[in-house]
Amino acid sequence: MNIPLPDFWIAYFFLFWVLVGLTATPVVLRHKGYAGWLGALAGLGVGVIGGAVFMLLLVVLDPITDSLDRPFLGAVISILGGAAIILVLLNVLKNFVPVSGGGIQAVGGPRTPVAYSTRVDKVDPTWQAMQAVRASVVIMLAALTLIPVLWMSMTAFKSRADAVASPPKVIFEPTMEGFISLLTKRRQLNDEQIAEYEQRDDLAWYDEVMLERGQAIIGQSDYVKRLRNSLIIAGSSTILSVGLGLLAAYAFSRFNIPGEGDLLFFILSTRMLPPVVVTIPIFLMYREINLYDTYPGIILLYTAFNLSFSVWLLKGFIDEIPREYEEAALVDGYTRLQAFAKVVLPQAVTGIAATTVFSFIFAWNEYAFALMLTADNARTAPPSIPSVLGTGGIEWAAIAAGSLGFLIPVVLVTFALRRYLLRGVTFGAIRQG
Amino acid sequence: MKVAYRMNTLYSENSLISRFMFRLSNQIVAYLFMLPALLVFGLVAWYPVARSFQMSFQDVSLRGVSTWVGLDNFELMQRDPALDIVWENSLEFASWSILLGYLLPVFLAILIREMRIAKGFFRIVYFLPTVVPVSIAIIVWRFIYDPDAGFLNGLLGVFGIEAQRWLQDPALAKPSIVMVMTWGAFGTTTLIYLSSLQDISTELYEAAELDGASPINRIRHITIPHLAPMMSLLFVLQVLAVVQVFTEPFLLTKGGPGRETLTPVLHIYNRAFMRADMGYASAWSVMLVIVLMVFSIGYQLVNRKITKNQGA
Repeated sequence: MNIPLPDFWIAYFFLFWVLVGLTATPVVLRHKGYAGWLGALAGLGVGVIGGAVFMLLLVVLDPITDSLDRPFLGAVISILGGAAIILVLLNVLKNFVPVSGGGIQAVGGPRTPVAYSTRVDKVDPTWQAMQAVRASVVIMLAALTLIPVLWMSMTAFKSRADAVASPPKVIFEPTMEGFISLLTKRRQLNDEQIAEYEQRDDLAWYDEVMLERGQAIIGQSDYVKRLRNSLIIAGSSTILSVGLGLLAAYAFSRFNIPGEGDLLFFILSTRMLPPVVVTIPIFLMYREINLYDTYPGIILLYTAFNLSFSVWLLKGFIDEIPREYEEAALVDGYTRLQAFAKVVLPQAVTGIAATTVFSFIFAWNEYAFALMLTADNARTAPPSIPSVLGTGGIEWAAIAAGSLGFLIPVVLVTFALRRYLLRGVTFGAIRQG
Repeated sequence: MKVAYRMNTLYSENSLISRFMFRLSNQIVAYLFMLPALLVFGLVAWYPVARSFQMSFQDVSLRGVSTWVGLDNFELMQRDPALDIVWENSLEFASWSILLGYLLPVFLAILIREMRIAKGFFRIVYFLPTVVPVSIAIIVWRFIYDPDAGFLNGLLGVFGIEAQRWLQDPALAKPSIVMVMTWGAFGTTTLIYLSSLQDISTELYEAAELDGASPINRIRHITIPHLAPMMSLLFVLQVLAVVQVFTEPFLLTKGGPGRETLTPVLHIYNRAFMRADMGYASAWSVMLVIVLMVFSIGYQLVNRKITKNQGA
């Protein structure tokens, strides 16, 4: 089954209004004293009707906005105008809903006692209904934001033919073809060879998948190597930058260093530099000392770029650990290093975790440095994914599979870290502000 | 009496020295802790920057022989027709990015903040584009901008607008690239605004409510003033980021159509790595750094003045 794109957008707007109806109507009806299920049912109706009216409005508004002679502006005006008209309509209609149960309700106030802590204005039914509309906006915007990622995930499981179908297929038969062709080198077989291969019973499942395309797997692709490089480089540079960052952050946090503020600002400024400014001299320097296209070279560079971030972030975390703990340890005869390792480190674990993840994401995703400072030996995956485009016809499914596989670790890590997201993201902004 | 007491508490010469030694040894420990980090910074951050400045006055050959040429590189740069184009482009990029992406995070942060459930979920959803590697996002955006079967032209089809050539049309190439950048960056900014919003005390809103302020007024008189310092800072950071943009135009348009999407960094890359003219490229990077620095310092001055005026 094919869904052409314009239909997708119609469905998208329709879904928005269903969502608005489903979330806002129960709020209104509850305040008027109706049961919850009735509200949900009515909400579905209101949503469907609202969506239909919206489409109708788009058709009606079309000639008016066409006369503007500015197509983009016209489209925006019809969308916003249509939405505003429906919202006003709903708001007016809501006053005509009869109150069930003899009008016990105080005007504007909540019907049932408010037993949870909230702001005064938030118990007003109109506010709560608007709240539901706002929630719908947030949900639908989130869906829109996710489209690129979702599309990529879908394409990864499509067959070669489905991936390039126009209009794009929404429902398709999932296959692992994309992943297999990404990770392997293959040879095209002729009919005799295919028949011969089909006789064999030592084929693994991935061999059979490719056999249906008339290909035999003859080895690993370069991408496997790129992925391994990415893992080694991102991993080592993360460990290094967090380790060195911890030491430096501890020094900044616990000792009085002359010119401390200037030094810290100097460190932060390396992160603000345009990467290309340092890349040119580093490129020349690395060629002279044979670090171009090697693991140590690129690891060192990523470490430096993450280090400024990790020093700042970790300093904040260490500042929060009371000095008294280590001072007690020092009095008890620990050396500085022991106190650092046995008292400070265990308490800074959350900070270390947050820093690790942000450093890893940077090194894992980095594109420009890897493009300019590596060629083959130490090249990571991000610059090589677009270059898959060039080799013998575009294998969209393979590209999508590579992207998806590459994205999954980062997404998992982000999810595990969600509590520290804010802190990691705001570090620079808050420090400077 | 008092004087005698003071005299007694002064350090003897001996203890002064020991105190100095103690402080010195303390300092040495501190520097030992910092040494590895400082070494890394020196080697791959500070030294290269210094070398960049040096190279901008040299004719650099890839075989390692460099000759001093004085201000030749800078004179050449002034005659380069790309100079004006690049900065005009940057200005347009910055305006588009402010137009398309500056207020969206504020709006979203306010919406999410008002939600009672699933706040954390939306945080992650909106942050997700930020963790997608640019090189991968670009591939998907090519699909979206595809003139024949792309998503965007599909949307326009609903309104009966003819298909656009997003990346090939000189009028559309810049906003199209800014859209990609906005998509990749607005999650972070939204989170920053969210954390800033969390600091506003509830009492302010309650007082406003009791005084009969409408929701719009509450946002205008409480939320926005509170966000203002952060907004001004993020304005600068956004401009700085846009001027330095490289990957998006490099992968999507290669600076085309014509030189419509040529950015300073892209031009530097072309000069350095395509034409191997390292000295000339360094002169460009020096100029870029100076422009960015002047911009940041200017912002700092203006900002300080504003804060001072508010305090008085």
